[in-house]
Amino acid sequence: MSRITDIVRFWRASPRQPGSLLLASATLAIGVAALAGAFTLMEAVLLRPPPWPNHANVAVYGGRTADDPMRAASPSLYDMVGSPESVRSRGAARMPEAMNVVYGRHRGLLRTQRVDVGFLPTLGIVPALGERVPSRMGGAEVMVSNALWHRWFDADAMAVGRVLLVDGQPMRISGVLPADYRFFADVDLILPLVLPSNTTDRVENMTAVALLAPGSITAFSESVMDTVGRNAARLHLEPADTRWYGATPLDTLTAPGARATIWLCVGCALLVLIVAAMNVSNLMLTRALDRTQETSLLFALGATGWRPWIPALSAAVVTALLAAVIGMPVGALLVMAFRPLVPDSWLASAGPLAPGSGVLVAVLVSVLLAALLATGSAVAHQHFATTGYPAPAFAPRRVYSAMALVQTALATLLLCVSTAAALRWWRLDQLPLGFDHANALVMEVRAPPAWYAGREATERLATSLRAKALRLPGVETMGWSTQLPVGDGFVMPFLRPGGAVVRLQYAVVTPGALESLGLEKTRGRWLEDGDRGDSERVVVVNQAYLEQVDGYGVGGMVRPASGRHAARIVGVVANTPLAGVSAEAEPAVFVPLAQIDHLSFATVRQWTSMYAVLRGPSVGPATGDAFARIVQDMAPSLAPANARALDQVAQMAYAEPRRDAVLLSSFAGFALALACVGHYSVQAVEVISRRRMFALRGALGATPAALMAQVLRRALVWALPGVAAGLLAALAAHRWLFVTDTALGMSDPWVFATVVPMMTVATIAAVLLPAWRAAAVEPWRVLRSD
Amino acid sequence: MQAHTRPSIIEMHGIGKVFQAGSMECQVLTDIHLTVRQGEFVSIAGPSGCGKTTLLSLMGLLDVPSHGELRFRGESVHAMGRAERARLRNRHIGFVFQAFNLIDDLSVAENVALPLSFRKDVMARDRARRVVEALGSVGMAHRMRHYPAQLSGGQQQRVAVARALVGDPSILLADEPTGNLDLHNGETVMALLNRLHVDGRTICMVTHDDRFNAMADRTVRLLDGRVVDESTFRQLQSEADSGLAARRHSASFP
Repeated sequence: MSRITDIVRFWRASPRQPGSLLLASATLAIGVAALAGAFTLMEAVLLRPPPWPNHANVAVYGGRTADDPMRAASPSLYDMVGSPESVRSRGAARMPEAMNVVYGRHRGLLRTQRVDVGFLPTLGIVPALGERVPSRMGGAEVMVSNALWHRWFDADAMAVGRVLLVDGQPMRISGVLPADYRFFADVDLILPLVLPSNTTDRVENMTAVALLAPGSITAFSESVMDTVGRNAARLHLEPADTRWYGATPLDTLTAPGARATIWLCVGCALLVLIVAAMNVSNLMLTRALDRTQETSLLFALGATGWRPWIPALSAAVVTALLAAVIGMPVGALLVMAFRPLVPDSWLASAGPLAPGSGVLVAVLVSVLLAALLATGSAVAHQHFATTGYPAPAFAPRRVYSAMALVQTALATLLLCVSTAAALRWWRLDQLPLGFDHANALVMEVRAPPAWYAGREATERLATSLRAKALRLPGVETMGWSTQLPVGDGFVMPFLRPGGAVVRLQYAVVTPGALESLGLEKTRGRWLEDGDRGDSERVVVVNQAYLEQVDGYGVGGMVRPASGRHAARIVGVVANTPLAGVSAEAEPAVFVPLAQIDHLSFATVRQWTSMYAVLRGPSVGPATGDAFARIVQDMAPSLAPANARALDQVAQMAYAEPRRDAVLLSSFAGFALALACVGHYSVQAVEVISRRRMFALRGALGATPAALMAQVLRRALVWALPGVAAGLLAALAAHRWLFVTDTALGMSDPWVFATVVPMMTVATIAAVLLPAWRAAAVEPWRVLRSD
Repeated sequence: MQAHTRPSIIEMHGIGKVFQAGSMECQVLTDIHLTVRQGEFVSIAGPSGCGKTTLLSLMGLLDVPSHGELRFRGESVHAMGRAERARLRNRHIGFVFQAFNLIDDLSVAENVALPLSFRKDVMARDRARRVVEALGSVGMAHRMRHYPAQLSGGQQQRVAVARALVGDPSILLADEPTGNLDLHNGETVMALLNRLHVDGRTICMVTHDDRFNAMADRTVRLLDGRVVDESTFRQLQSEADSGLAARRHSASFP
């Protein structure tokens, strides 16, 4: 019989005994699914090349802050830097903004971005269809995203040349963006941006990119710093601020804050795979024990080399392949389930978050390696059993138990990590949000300057809509705000009492807005209808303003850095988690729409939408529909969008701790399930191999409860040191285990108080069946057959 | 005290045992009436497959009968659960098996102490004393720290007897105690059982060795699951043997 015949014999025999093969494959498939999910995330976020062909030689330049590595540039700075010798091409893109877009029956408030003529060529973007925008200077043209092209035009190639109404302006479609294009945010339309030369616009609302000669990034960065240094006065910068200016390679800016979490996920997935491999190892060992006689016979008949190990190795390969077939689709489903938890800022590409060929190869190699390592113990046992080496009498049993111990330790470690993340989520969830998010609904509306040229026109629209909204059934209060209690807002420079500049969250609101947002007033009064343009200028500030900027409180003055009108503080509201519950509260000012100066209003409206906020005991989706109809009736060109309950907005505050807790708990769940399978298999084998002992104890008077207790005790004896080892590992690792920028409290006594009982109960539950089998052994049958 | 006036340990009235093998029923024991009184040495004899071990397992409360009434120390075992039967076994019955059934990874002392480990009323010091006494009574106290693999078959069986005695049981049940032993060791173990009987122990032993049956006060003969008297047993045995001989003969000369 040849080696080939051995393999064929194994393959023919496997379907006749599918149970153990399927069990091993299903067990390993859990590890494959976890690994496929983590690898897919890693590949999409960290490894996949960004969708900008020139990315390796592109730098982003301008200023940055201590917290955010992304640089921003003002039109003025962009103009000053110009095109030094090392720059092959350059371009700029404004921050994305919302616009009312109409095409035939389609109408929506879409995300758009204005880019100058050099932006897309600098990145190396080639349109999927048509031409880049702007294809000619001054042309009223747009490029549509691939997604919008499919959604509104059914991927019709004839879409190029058609005309959209963008904020009421007819604009011709010049081309379609590639399917994977995105530049740090999803946009539906790319519009042309014309930057005047010698501009004095110092608002840093653009991303400037430069295609550089290889190796010239440092020189370019110094040149930017130089330019800023020379023009600090023109740019209104303090000399100390110039150090934050320079250039950063584009590649280093992708996936900010994602690395730690993704590496943690990959680490957890590898641990899950190891635990799965250990279980498979136990199963393989059981099969090897069954084959000992056959292997011995092969040796006795003169077999040499690796031929006697063919069945074990074939089993490893088949198990790995089957596990990959089962685990990969499960991994893909996991990724789909977790997709909503992945922040958009992590993804450089708009391509789908799905396992690619690279992930497939990596998973296949990993699982094959894991299966072969799992086979190691089986081969080693057969080696001992057949070559005359003195194997310890209870070696297989010790190997089983040691593996259960290691599995328990790994599961405990993962459970500690996930429990710490869950506790952190729970604790943050207990913190007051600072606003009542029940019974309120928000809807985004953008009134473009083309139709509502000045502040007064917008105010008239807002007032009319508010009056009609208040007549809707169930609506008690209604107002407009440019800022929601959670999420990014507009930042404006103000002056501290000492004269230093401080950037504050800046919200423009109408009367009724703060009450409708459910903000908690701690002092003073709300903004009222009487706060008109011709009355004293007033603002409401939040508690963080008092703590971080000026503690004077009601009656104090708020002074814009621009030197324009100061305003008196008439009320104070509680802080809300603008940047999420885990971030420090940011100081904010709320300015009445009726009192904002025209220049500030023009700046704010360019970057932010207005949010209609309706509150009342029966406010719901029907109220949103009714309000949308009112808007349509009064301003048919506006496209109200993103209607959602304020509850949903509040949930955004927990996005980061919830993501960490859910991701890590999933891995811990896998590991715990596998550890339970491990304990079950160890004790099941133990009970079978020690049936005679259990029968004898039964014959000598051990009660069924005593026999059960013996199995449970034995399982716990092996599990508890594993739990202790896992806790020690968690304690040792807690300094390194960071999720985003917040350390998990691994040394928290509650982690231990939760994990130890959980592991104990899980172990007991896992071995209940074998324990019951031990108790059900009928002594006289076993001893008689003996 | 006359033998028949001593209190009974085991009483069997009309006992039957049926095993279910799939849809097949197998009647192993039929209408057994048997009483074992305190201090008796009863041997159970019969050919292979006649139900000796099954009868012993019923007497030892390891199994329950399908029919009839079984009383142990005057109490009916029918209403007893597994746990209660286990407690009775532990306190009142000592087992000696043909295959010794010592646990390999426990020392001799630990093996002997095993039945006491299921009792909460025996303190550790008392347990050690009783183990030493039990091993002393079978002449194995000097090997208490050894492991079963380090003992001969006869020594292992003596340890098994010590384990059966350590709980001071009301009855000792021995299932072919010499079956795995050579002649010399078999006789040694039987001499030990005989001495225990002389000391007042109640013993019930399954054997098919007539030499050892002679040591018992009486022998219960089993044939095809029924208790038969000596003469009937001899006659049926003779008929069976001659029938077998006839069949052999006819097979040789067709």
